[in-house]
Parts: sequence; structure tokens; C-alpha cells
Amino acid sequence: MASSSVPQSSDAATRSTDTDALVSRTSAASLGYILDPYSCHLLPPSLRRSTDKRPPLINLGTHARTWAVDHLVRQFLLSGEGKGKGKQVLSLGAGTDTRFWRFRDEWERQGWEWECRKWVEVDFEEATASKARSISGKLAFKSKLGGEVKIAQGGTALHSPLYSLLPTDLRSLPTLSSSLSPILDPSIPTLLLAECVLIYLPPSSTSDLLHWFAETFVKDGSAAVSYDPFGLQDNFGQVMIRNLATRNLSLPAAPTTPTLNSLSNRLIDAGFSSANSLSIAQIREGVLPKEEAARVAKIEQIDEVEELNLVLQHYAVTWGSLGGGEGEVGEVVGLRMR
Amino acid sequence: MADYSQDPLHPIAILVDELRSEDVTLRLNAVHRISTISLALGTERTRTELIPFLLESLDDDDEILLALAEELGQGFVDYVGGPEYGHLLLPVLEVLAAVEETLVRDKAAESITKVCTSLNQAQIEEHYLPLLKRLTTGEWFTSRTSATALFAAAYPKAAQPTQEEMRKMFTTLCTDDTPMVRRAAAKELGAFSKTLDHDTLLADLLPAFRKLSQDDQDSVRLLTVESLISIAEALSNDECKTHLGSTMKNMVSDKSWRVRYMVADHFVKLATAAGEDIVREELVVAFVALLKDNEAEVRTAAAGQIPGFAQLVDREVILARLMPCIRDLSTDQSQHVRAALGTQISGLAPLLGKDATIEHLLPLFLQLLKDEFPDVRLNIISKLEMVNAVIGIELLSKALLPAIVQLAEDKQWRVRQAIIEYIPLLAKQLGVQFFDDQLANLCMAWLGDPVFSIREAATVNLRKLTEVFGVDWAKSAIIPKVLAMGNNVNYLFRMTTVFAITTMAPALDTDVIRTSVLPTITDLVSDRIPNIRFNVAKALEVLATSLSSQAGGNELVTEGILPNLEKLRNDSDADVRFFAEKGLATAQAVASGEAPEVTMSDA
Amino acid sequence: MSSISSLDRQIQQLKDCQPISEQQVKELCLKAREILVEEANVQWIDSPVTICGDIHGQFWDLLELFKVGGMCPDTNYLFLGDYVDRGFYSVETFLLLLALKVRYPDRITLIRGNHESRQITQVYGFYDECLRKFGSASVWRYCCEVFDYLSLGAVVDGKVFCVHGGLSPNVTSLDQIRLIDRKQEVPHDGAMCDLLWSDPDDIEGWGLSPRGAGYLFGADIVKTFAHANNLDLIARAHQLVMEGHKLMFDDLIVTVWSAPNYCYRCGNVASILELDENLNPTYRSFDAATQDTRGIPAKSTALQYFL
Repeated sequence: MASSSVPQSSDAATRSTDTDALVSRTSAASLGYILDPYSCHLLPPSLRRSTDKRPPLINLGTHARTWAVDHLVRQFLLSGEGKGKGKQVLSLGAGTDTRFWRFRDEWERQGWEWECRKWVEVDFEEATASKARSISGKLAFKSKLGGEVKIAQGGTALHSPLYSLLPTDLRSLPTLSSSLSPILDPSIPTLLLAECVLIYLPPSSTSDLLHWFAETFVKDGSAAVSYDPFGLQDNFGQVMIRNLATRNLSLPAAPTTPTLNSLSNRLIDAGFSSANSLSIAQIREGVLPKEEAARVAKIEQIDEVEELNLVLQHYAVTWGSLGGGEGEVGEVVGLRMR
Repeated sequence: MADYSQDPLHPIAILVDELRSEDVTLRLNAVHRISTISLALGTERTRTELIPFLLESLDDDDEILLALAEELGQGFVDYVGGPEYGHLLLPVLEVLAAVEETLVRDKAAESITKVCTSLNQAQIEEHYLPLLKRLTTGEWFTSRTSATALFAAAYPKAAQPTQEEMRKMFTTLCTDDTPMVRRAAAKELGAFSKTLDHDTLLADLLPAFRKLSQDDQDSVRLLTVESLISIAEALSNDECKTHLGSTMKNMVSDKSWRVRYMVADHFVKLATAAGEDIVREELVVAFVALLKDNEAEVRTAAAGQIPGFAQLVDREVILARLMPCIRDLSTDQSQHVRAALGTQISGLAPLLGKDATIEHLLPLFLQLLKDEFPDVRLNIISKLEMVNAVIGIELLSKALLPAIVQLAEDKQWRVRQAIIEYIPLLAKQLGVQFFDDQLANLCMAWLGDPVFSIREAATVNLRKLTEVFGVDWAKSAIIPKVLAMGNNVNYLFRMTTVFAITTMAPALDTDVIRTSVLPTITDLVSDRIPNIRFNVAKALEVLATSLSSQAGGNELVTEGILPNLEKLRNDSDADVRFFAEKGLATAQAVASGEAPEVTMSDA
Repeated sequence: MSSISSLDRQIQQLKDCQPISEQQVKELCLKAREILVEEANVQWIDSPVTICGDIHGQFWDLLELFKVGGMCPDTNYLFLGDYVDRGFYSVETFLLLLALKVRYPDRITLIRGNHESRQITQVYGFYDECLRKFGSASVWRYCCEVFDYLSLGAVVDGKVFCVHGGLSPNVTSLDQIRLIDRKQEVPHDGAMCDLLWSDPDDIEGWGLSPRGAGYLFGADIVKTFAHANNLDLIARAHQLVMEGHKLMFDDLIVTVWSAPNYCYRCGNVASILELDENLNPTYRSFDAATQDTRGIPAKSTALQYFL
């Protein structure tokens, strides 16, 4: 019940959601749903040997979400705009996300040139401090950073040629923008990535962030991708809000994102030229390539069809382009129904 | 170090083996046995062999480290040879205090503090202070965070120059680069402040506290609320006003609702520590502001403090300043605020006295009893006792009766149940006439409730009513209706008849049982539903037990109960036969004049 | 008599959500098998009876069910399977139901759901829970042996056919079910599998199930089957229904779902179906037990979201 939430630890609770996501990614990776050799190294030792597997529903959802966001980020990195000048990624509330390293590997496998001049992740200090410690201490992570690795800000920040990690509270935009200005070049096509982050922010902070992004970075080729729960006004959503409250988690954005449209309008209102959303259920049903769907369907027997749909109808991937792109409908990135 | 690898039976060799095991449970067990191992080794070898071994072979598994941190804090000082060697435990704990996992660090800090209690001044200077310095200046925030917790225990034991140094170190931590360390410092500041004398507290710690209370991170600021209380407790009322007054004011109007929530949640404690003057002058204003806060969470927390705070102020202040806010809260848009108010508001009745309660609180009760959120209604009902004590049941029930009648048909069965439980009390106070007019039908209607638990509670209610109004009343007002249900075509109603008889049996006399109950029961012996029949068997057993103590009881058991049970023991259904046999044993004992053992009706 | 009183004590202990000892589980399972082996593949039962759908280890909600429907033996119960997996108290839930079955064999009927299987319980939690609560897999093994003996269906007064999942293309009459050798792990296909896995759907004839086992079946199939077997109603469970129960195909088949707020997450109400002595149906819905009494480890609740 919301009334019992003790606010002193609600930020800690928000940070703990990242551990959940990490465990889910590790679980999905260990069973072959996704390819991620990195997540398991970021797990605290006590969780590393946990025998509790995630149920198939969570594995399937993690797979669909990862596939969709990967797909969009890959599109961005491979898109034509900014040839020669490179690309930038700004990942908000990145937590233990391993996409940077996974993509570095993928690019190597594919023989693609890594044109992303800077990949910046920001999160709460505790998250960045712990990630900075892991990255700087593990060769597998460190060796992909393109050169010298520097620890800063009392151990809460990390800088390297290709990758930076910054501590910040996303609710304080001035701090964020001033700490990013020496690192990111506004004239280069930039991707704003927010995976399960905006739901925890007050709507006004999100609006400020998105406006700032739209006004700061070059229109051509810049884009945003977010992944969020939505439509929480129904019974499922109310139970979710109540359950998370028992963990001191509140979802301040929930009332403002009742529909898919509300998610994409959030980008349009901030100045994006186009934006769209699809629920994870829709993505699984109509976007995920049939072969991929068939592959993961074989991994575990799923006896939770109704529940799977119920849950996945409450999560969405949203993408938007700041200016024109070369995609079919002028988008920089986008998902298409089959 | 001794070469124990040659001797496979050497305790350390065994420990080494187990600590290297792949199996975490084995490693965990090994750690939990280190006190046993050190006992086998003796104190000297514990110092020279076990401790160095532990230091060089620290596990990487948090669970193992946690166990180790705990073991070393549990009287391990004795295993290394007593207090004079206690400092030897510090190096291992120092490493544990710097690891990444918070639980391990916290446990290590706790154990360091425990070890500290056994150290003398020389050990503090020579071993503890250097450790504290290293942790305080550590590269990663983890060690600096742990350091904040290590001051309070050592400070009183340290020499004066060291004390000064410690205060400096602590204030440095209060201005650390990372908010994690500042948060830890804010949390520990209260405990540390308790060890300082009055003047150094004002001179050294108060400025550090002020800085933390103005930190740009709200997560730091909100942790200063509890240290504020600690400091306030150490200061006089005047000093509180001078040194803490403005900080308190800032907290109440902090731009972060989470800070305001903390203040609201700790308000009574804060007010108690701050002293009467501030309460009268400033805290009433502050409390009113929190009750009117924009954030529902803050209002909920403040609502929880209402009776506690009201005890600290005059009755006039309650009426003039708090009541208007409380009235607003009773129509608050957040159900959680209203629910919190529902649990707390009754606590005002004793403070207000009878007349003011009637005038100010009763209307609010009426309104909250009609609240759309069932928790609000339940919370009010569950605390009515306190109001009852102040204004008396008669007034209470008359004022609330319409609301109660409405709740008796609430669609939430738990609300109905809560109401039923109040009925016997109401009945006792209202008297039979009033009851028959207003509540009797309600009580019978519950017997046909769709929810089993309500039907069950309804039968218990009937027994309690019989105890209140007497058997004669029951004979005319209840029993005919109950027995009539025994002819209902729906077996659930017939079942309720049997249940009601079983429950009411202890309150019935021989005459009623003979003339009213037994004829119906005898009919039900041949009911086509076995569930009815075995419940009849159970009812007969209870009736026999209750007849055993009454005049003419034995005969009635012999002529009215035994034959029925005899018939049921030959039933085609196994469960009927079982309960008939059981009842028969009891009934035969009664018939033959033995006092039966008191048997509970089967669970 | 002494075994009955010790059984009564075990039932009391289980009602308090305290697991009984491994040795007691072993004996209980042995006795349960002796009783179940005598039951038919399609067990005949008499009205009145209260029919319950999936429980899935939601122990406190099962107690809530009993509060609404009455306790066994006073109320006769038919549970349609899926006692275990997903919830946090599969052990206590299944053992309580099993203890009631052994104590009152004529008052409670337990049939098999698709989760009463070695394979499924290893994926969906019962296996892990046994390991966690008893330190070994023996209790899981004892329970799985009982699973193999559970009936595949029941028929109330010859008129209401009850089964966990639904119909099978290999079964046109109840008598065909009686020919199945049920004492085995749930197979991957065939009649026994279909009865436990299939779902009714708005299609014609038979369709592929998205679950990868069993079939989807349409109104025509249900009508034909009901007519051929002289049935008034088919009662089944297996599918989450937000409103607790759902009638389909001119009220010829009903889904009964008895796990409120399924997985502590779905926000649904639960239902039980009370058939009185004349087979008149009444659906009673109920909500989840209140938060503080149902004792869910707060942390695990939220693990089941994508955060």
C-alpha cells in the first residue's frame, strides 16, 4: 500500500529494480533466449549461484524486450546520418546494462566499423560506483573501452575514449546537462535510450529531459528509444502499483501513460518530429521474426499464455526521431509489423 | 605459519578443505564452525594460525563473508585470548567493512563495534584509530561509508587529542564527495552525537549537522530528521529553539516531499524532544502544514501522528487548530489518507471528552463509515471501542445505527463480519426492545448469507445474544426461526440450522432442547445429504454434553439423543458413522451419569 | 482412531501453513495412493458439491476459499487440479488438500491438472519449493507419485463432467476415458494429455493450442460431446479468467478459476461453483486474502515484473 512506503529508501528501491533486470537478463542468457556473456559478471556473488530460475514468462518477456530495443539501437548505429562524424548514445538509468559490450562484440563478429564515438551511461551514484568498480576490474569489460580508463568523482564515475559512466539524479536536469556537455557533441546524431526509467521519474522531469534532448542535439539522425510499463489504470496495473509499493517503489509516471499513444505523444510534445509505440505483446505477435519466435518457443514449455499476454500488454517500446531519417516513413529508427 | 598441510586431521587443514569446497553450504557450515575450530586450536594457535589464514583466504561469496563478519562479532574476542588480543580481529573485519555488498559491510561494522567494547585506550590508539583512518580515507566509497558507523563506540574510550581527531574525521565524512557517504554520516550522526559532551556537540557536530540538513540531495537531508531528534534530546529547550528552530522550519517546508514525509512520520518524537515552548509556538503551525501537505504520503504520515501530537497540546488547540484539518482529511481525495485517519481519529475521543467527541468526532465517524473504500470503514469500526469508552454505547449506537445497518449489507464480507462482532455489545446496551425492533431481522438474515464465514459468525452471534437476553427470549425470538430453516429445500439452510443448534447448545436448557430442538434434529437424522447427517451427529454430541449438567438431562439424553445416534452409527456414509460413534461415546457417558470429557466440536 | 487423531493434528498444522515432517509426508502420500488407486479415471460423485479451479500454491487464498465456501468435510469439494506451482505455498497447499482427502475420502475429490506433473513442476516452482523447504527432493518425489494416481475427471450425478483442461479428439465418450491407463507421468500427447491441457475457443472443430500441448476446441465439439454423454454442463479450469468464471457456448461449458490475484500479480477475482443437491449452480466470487495475512515475502512479489 502506498501509504506504507518509507521514502528514505525509495531511491534504493528504484536502483534495486536494476538488479531484477540483471537477474532476468542472466536467466534469459543462460537458457539461450538472448546472447549476453556479460551480465553474469555483474551479478553480486550471492546471486550468481542462485538456483531460482526466472519463470518462462519473464524469460520470454526479457527476450522480446531485449530484441526490440537491440533492433532499434542497431538501426540507429547503422543508419546513414552522421557518416564520418560518428554517433553518440546517451543511456539514462542504464544500471548494469551490457548493450555497449554486446554490440562491440557483434560489430566485431560482423566486421562492421564501430562508428559510435561516445556511449554514455548515467545512473544513481550507487549504481555507477559499483559498475565502475566492475568495469575497471574486469578485463573483458575494460578491453572494449578503446583505451585508457579513468575513475573519477570519488569512484562514482568512469571515463574512457569510447565509453563514459556518470553519476547523476535524472530529476536534476541542470546537473545532468552540465556534466554531459564536456562529453557529448551536440552536432552529432545522438540516441537517447531509456529502458524502464521514465516510469520512475516525475512526469515533469521526463518532460524537461526530453525537451532538453530535443533542443540540444542535432535534428538530423537523432532519435530516442524507451521501454516502459503503461496502461496501469486497470486491475493488473493497480495490483502492480500496490506490489511495487511494498518494495518502496512508486511509479510517478503511471497516471500519465495510460495508453500507447500517451507514450509516443510524450516525444511529440517534446519536439520530436515522429514517434510510435508498440506493446511487447504486439511486438511478439507481429514484429518478432517468425524464425526467432519459433526458436525461443522451443526453449521452455509455456503454460502461462493468458498471463503472458496480460503482462506483456502492459509494457511498450516507444521510438521517436528528432528530424527526418532514411527509413520508410522518414524515421531514423522504427519497428514494422510483419 | 605452521605447516598444517602435512596433517590432514589438523583442524585448520579440515577448515581449509571445507572453505575450498565448491559447495557453498559446506563453506557456510565451515564458517559457522570457526569458533569450534578455534576452541580446538587454543587461543595461541587461533592467533598465529587461524586469523592469518582467514585473512589470506577471504571468500568472494557474500553469504560466506556475511557469516564470517557475524561470527567474528559473536564473542570471538575470547577465542583469540581475551580483550588484550581483541585488536587482532580488526584486520579481517577491516577488509569485510570495505567490500561491495552492503549487508556484509554493515555486519562487519557492527562486529568492529562489538570488538571495540573490549579494547582499552592503548589498543584504541594503536590499532583502532589507524583502521578508522584507513577506512575514512579509502578510495572506494564502500570503506568510507562503513567508517561512519565506527565512531560512536570508540570515541568515549579515546584520549582527548584522539577524540579531537575523530571529530575532524567525522566532519570530513559529512562533506564527502559522494552522497552515499554523506547519507551514511547523516544516519550515524545521531548515535555519534550522544557520545559527545554538550560543548563539543555544539561546536563541532552541530555545524556538520547543519550542512547535511542543507545537502542538495534530498536523500541526505531526509536522514537528518532522526539525528535532529537525537541532538534535540541533548539540548535544553532554549538551545533547541536557538540552534535547531530554523532547521526544523526548513524541514517542514522542504521542497522534497520525502523529507517532509520523514518529518511527518517522526513528528511526535520530534515534538517531544524539542520541548513544550517550540511545540506551542512553532510546531503546531508546522503540524497543520503537514496535515495540509500537497502530497498524500505526507498527509498519511501526519494523520498517523494525530493522537500522539494532540497529547502534547491543549484541548483548545486541538479544537481550534487541528480539528479543521482533520475535517478536511476525512474527505481527502486519497483513500490511504482517509484509511490512516480512520485508524487514528478514535484516539482523540479520550482527549476531547464526551461533549466535544459528540459534537466534533461523531459526524466524522458517520461520514467515514460511508466511505467508498472498505479499509476506511473497517478501520473506523475496529476502533469504536475507544469512542464507546468516552461517550457510552447508547449514544454511539443511536448515532451510528443507520450506518451500521447499512454496513450489515456491505458487499465486502469482512465488513459484514466486523459488524456482526459488534452486535452482542450493542444488544447488551440497547436492550431487548430496541434490539427486536432494529436488529433482530438483520441477525436472522445473516444466517442465509452467501459466505460461509458470515453464516458461522451469525450462529455464534445468536449464542451470544441468548446469553445476553436469556433462554426465554431465545425460545420465542430466535429458535422458531432457526428451526424453521431446517425444512428449507436448500441444504445450505438446513445445514445452518444444525450449525446454529450446535453453537447455541451451551446456552439452551433441557426444556427448549426437549420441546423445540430435538424434534427438528430427529427429522434431520434422515436427511438425504450425508453432510447434514454427520453434523446432526456432532450436534447431538454437543447437546448431550450440555445436558449432562442440567436437571433431567440424563433422561433426555437416553430417550432423545441415544436412539438418534444409534440410527446414525449404521448409516451408509463412513463420515456419518464416524461422528455418530464419537457422539455415542459421549452421550452414553452422560446417560450413565458420568461427566463427559469436554469435547470440542470437530475442527 | 489414533491415526485419525494424528491426521487431524496434521490437518490443523497444515491449516496454520506449517509443513509436516518428511516422514509424515511419506506416510500421507502412501495412504493417499491407497485411496486414489480405488478411484475411477472419471470419478462419480454426488451433489451437493463445490467445484474449484486452479489454486497454484496460493495457500492463504485457499483458506479464503474455505471461509467463503465452508470447510471440508461440512462442504463437499471437487478440485480441478493445478494445486502446485507459481504460488509460494505449493507444499502446504497440496499437503493440506491431500490430508483432507485421506481423512475424508468421500467429502473431497482431487483430480489431476497439467501442473501435477514431474516435468512442469520442475519449471514452475514446486520442485524448487520442496528443495528449499525440506532440503531434499524426496517430498517432491512422494508428491509426484501421488500425482500419477489422481483421477483424470469426475462426473457429478452423471450430469456435470469436470476436467482440468478440456476435451480431446481421441475421446468421444466418457467410457473411452475410463479405458486410459492413467498411472503415469502426463504424456506429451494423446487423450490423457489433452484432457489436462486443452482449451475451449471460438473456433469450429479442433485447433492448435498456443501452449504446445492439447488442443483448442469449438462450440460444435462441446455440443456433440455433451449430447453424446447426456451432460448438462462441462466444468473445467486451466485458464485465468479475470472475472473468476466464464460461461461459453450457450452455458454448456464453464471455466472456473480459484486463484484470486493470480501469481499475486494479475488483479483477477476468483470463483467457486456451488452445485446444490438439485445441481443448481451458484458462482461465488472472492478476492485475495488481505495483504498482511497472506504473508508473501515482499521481495519476491515484485520479482515477477519487468523492471
